[in-house]
Amino acid sequence: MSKEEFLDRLEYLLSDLPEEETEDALDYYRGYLEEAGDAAEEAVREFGSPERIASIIRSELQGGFKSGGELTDTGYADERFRDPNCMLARREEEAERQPGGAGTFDYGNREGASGVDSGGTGGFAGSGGGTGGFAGVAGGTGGSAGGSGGAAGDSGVAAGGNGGNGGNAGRPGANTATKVLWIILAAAVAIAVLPALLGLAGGAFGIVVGVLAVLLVFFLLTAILTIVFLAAGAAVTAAGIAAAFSDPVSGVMCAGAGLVLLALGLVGVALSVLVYGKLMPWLFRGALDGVSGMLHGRRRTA
Amino acid sequence: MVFNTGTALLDAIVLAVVSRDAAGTYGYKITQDVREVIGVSESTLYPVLRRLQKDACLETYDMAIDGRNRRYYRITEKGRVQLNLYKSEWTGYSGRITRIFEEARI
Repeated sequence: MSKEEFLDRLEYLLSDLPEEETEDALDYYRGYLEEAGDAAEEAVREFGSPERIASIIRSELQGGFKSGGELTDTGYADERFRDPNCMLARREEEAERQPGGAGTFDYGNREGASGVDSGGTGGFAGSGGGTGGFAGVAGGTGGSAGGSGGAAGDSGVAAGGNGGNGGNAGRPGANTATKVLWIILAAAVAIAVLPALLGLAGGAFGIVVGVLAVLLVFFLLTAILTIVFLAAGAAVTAAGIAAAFSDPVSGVMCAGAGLVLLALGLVGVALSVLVYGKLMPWLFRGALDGVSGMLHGRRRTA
Repeated sequence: MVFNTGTALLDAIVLAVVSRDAAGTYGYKITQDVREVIGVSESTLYPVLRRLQKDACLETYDMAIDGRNRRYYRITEKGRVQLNLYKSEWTGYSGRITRIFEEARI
């Protein structure tokens, strides 16, 4: 369609609109095609049919952008005006632009999925091994049964990790071979590092127990001191008040000392509220978060 | 392009392109400038320009070039206000999207 044909057709299609609108649109498209110069033919082709442009302008006049479709970077997107061949043509265009693109992607996806599948199995083995490793640490100072449990745990985790990688790479065949290699490697490393690991585990265990003991003592001490101060304060105050009848000076002093003790006891109560109400739940939550974080992290590597 | 450019963003881009020329610019050049940013089809911009003109965000004037009239578009004060709004909205929006992509594990 030539430039003139396009403009004539558009003018005809818009002829029932207010003259001002028709003139404005025609002026715009005429000016546009004049600026395009040699590229006018191509521009007309890209405009699409005059019918399409006419319906877009008409719809815009009726405020159709809100009620109908909307303008997008590919033009006016509205089901009512969509050229039925438009999507088909574009899909073909894109297929030409990247030959086999979609097919390759699909293929990779499917392989990836099976890879993930085997990775999942590896992960399962890993978590089982992980429990073994835990038992090994709990075995403490290094019984040989605990040790081998730890080694099995390590290799289990390693195998699981490799399974996960396989999922990404999406090569299930090579996956099994590398998994075996990884198991052998992990076992060798575990055997070499095991004594040091056991020492470290023992040290860590000791530190944990020590910290727990200190915390326990701290908690108990807070409660005990609070109770002692409160009881002693009450008792001394009462004794002082009783003594005040016979010996006012020492009685009042005694009662004063008792009140000081009571005050200390009240401070202890406040401290206890803080410790048992805030610090302890916070510590518990922190510990739980830490443990679940470790488990989560372990599951993720597996 | 995977992502669609909606009506508001298209308006914003057109306003930004027109605002770059204080003396105004014309339809063909606007289209080419916008096409350097997003793959807009050539027929798309007339309705956008017409609407922005009706909303008084753009004003037009004619100037004789090579013996014929060329219609120039110029951004109005209202258009600048609108463009400023679009710009700040976009800065926040794109910043949030960018951040979530930076935090994504790929």
